[in-house]
Amino acid sequence: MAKPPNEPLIEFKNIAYRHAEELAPVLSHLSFSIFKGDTLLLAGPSGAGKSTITMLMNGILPSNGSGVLEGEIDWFGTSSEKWKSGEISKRIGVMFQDPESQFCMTTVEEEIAFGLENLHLPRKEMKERIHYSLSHTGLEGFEKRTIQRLSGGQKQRVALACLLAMRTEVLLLDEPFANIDPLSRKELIETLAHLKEKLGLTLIIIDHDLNGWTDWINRVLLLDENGTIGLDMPLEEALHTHLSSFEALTVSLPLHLTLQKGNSQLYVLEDQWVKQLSISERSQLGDQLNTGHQKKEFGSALMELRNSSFDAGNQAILEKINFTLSEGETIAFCGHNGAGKSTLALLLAGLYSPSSGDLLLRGKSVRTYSLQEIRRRIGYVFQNPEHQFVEHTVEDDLSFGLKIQKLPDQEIRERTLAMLKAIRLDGFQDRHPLSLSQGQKRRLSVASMTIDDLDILLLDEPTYGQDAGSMKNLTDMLLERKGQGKTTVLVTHDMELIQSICDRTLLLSKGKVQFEGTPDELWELGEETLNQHGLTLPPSVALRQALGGHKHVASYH
Amino acid sequence: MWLHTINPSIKLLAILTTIIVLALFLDPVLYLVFWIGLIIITFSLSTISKKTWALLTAPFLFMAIGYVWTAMLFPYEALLENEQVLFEWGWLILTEESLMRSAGLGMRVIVFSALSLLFVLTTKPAVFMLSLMQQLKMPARLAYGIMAGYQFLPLISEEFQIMQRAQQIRGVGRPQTVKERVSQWKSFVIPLLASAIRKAERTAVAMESRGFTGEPRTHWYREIPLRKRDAVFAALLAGLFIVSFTVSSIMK
Repeated sequence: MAKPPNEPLIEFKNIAYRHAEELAPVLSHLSFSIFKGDTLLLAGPSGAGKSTITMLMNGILPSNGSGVLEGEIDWFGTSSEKWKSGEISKRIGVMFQDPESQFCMTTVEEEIAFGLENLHLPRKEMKERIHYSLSHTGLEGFEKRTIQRLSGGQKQRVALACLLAMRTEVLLLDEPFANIDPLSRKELIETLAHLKEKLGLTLIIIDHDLNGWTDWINRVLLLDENGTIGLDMPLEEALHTHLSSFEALTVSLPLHLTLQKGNSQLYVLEDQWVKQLSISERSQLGDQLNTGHQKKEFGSALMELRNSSFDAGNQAILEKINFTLSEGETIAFCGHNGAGKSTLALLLAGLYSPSSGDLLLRGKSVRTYSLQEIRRRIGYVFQNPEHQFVEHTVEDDLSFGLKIQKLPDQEIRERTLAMLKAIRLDGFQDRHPLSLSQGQKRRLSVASMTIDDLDILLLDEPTYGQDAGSMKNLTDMLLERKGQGKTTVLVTHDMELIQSICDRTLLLSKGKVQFEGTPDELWELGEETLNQHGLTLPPSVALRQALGGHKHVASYH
Repeated sequence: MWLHTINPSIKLLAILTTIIVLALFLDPVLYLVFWIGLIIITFSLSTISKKTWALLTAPFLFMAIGYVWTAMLFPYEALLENEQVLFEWGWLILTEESLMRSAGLGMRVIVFSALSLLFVLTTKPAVFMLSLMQQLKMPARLAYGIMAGYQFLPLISEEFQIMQRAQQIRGVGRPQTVKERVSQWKSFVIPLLASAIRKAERTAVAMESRGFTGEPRTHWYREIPLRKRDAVFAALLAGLFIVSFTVSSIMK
């Protein structure tokens, strides 16, 4: 790690950047260098200017923006001003956050070829490079596949293949895992680690989650809210000396690091830490991690699906599902993309009707309820909160459901204000919902559903793209519901969320229920089976097993 | 199949030329013969499903019938004077010439729709854009922009459906009247547009970050070739026109 520093690949010299429409600069007094072979984590709270730095690093800004840049950026020892347009992107590549909108062609091979055509390579070489990059990203045989039909994780692999084919020396990863499931994330990180080793790439990773990275990131650069550098040092040193700064700047730490908080000696690698623990420490930690899901008895059946199927066109999405949702339980639907989880949730929400079979709400067919009655009992929070806003101000949006119920004005106002406080959006009531930050939007979308006192709330992937802070907030909101004896259904890939709040899980595959049981029973299916369904063990369970607590769990039966 | 492999630029030019030439005539017999020939070509040389074709032709058929009807019922009075009256009933006068004229107008719509469908249903948009850049020297910036936009269309329609459901859940009732439907669409336009613009911006940045500057390419990964069959296709349309013209002349 203490290699003599070589020539920096990217050097920021006292950079300040200000967007044209704003007075305060996004970045100020920013100086740092990135060296060949670095694996750097760039993190910081939202609004700290991470995206701006990314775009400055590969030359998208300032040439494409109307902002003002001060200071100097050097690429490979030459001032950025002396580079011809488009030249630097041949050496520094970016993988973007949104898998949907970084492609412009139809098929995988055409997309990779797009970048190679920009390099003016002869056709024969393009073919070779496409083959090479696909085989290094685990995408053999994907040449002719349509990009739009791939899963989020596969799309990000395609993005990586595009960069590999162009042989860029530096890879900038701009939160590329914000919208994909944890297994794909884990696999992609492994692929990246392997490629870095093999090709000697320089990686700059922007992420707010350190899970999976600790083994091979060598440096961290933390930004604070003002767009200045809060911390720039080797990862190990940073973890030893500034562990609390990570949390303060909303970076999620791996569980084994959080548990070491306050210890005099800190082990960065999980294996090493576990190895040196004494037996008593282990069992103590094991107990601490064991949240102990007991099979609880729940109230009467709230909703029942009887032999229900759902077809879209000629395709069966769900086949003969029998399922009972009991009053007061918190249940998670999990499984692969396309397993039918969301369809099942939409069915329960009454937004789809089963093609065959019946759906009962409190023992009576849903068909006997009016649409309004159903809406008053069942709520649904969509993956993208933006889709759900119906009014132009935060306050109006929040009170929309209450107004429909024609409650007295006074009561509406009181409840709305109380809710605004509860979700820490007081002071924002006159803002447009779309102008809020990602975490605020999520809180508002959940709150405008829960303000109605619904019996059943369904949430589709509520934790995607959320940082540690808003994740905690969301979990608290759901736990509060649970405390009130309300019923919640989650469609999620977030295993830790399942572990911490769910009473029951339903694993779906190809439109059928594969497994039904408590979270603990789900983990007992084993890592391999879980992986087949696109799932992973939650970090706390994995750690418990590493600690030897697994036996304890196995004796459960 | 053969029609799908014709160079899109040539296909486009050949069809446009045919449309312009056909527009110089207003001859229902010529159009009818041309149309029959076109249908034979379409179905024997492509994999277009007959159902799709029929569904897409239907609106044009109605349009054509409407044309014939109005042209027959409300002819230019001035034209009728020296014409052969076929049928007279009250104020309704049908002359031979006006019958031919309206039939010609109707057939024209049908023939043009068949020609357009022949192009649209046998040409992949991506290949079309590549061909426009390679054969007709369309600027890369424009062509790739259109291609990227084309990738968005399914996303936008998907987003529209999600929004409809999301609003329904909030208790915004399903629109019953036309007025309600229009006002719902209005409330969707801004967020949809905002998200489309955001996506477009991101894609533009992504394209640029991969070295795209809009300058013309020196090598193509996928070359859209010019082949003999392209000339054969153009000749086929020309031949069909000559046959139709001859048949129509003989019948006169």
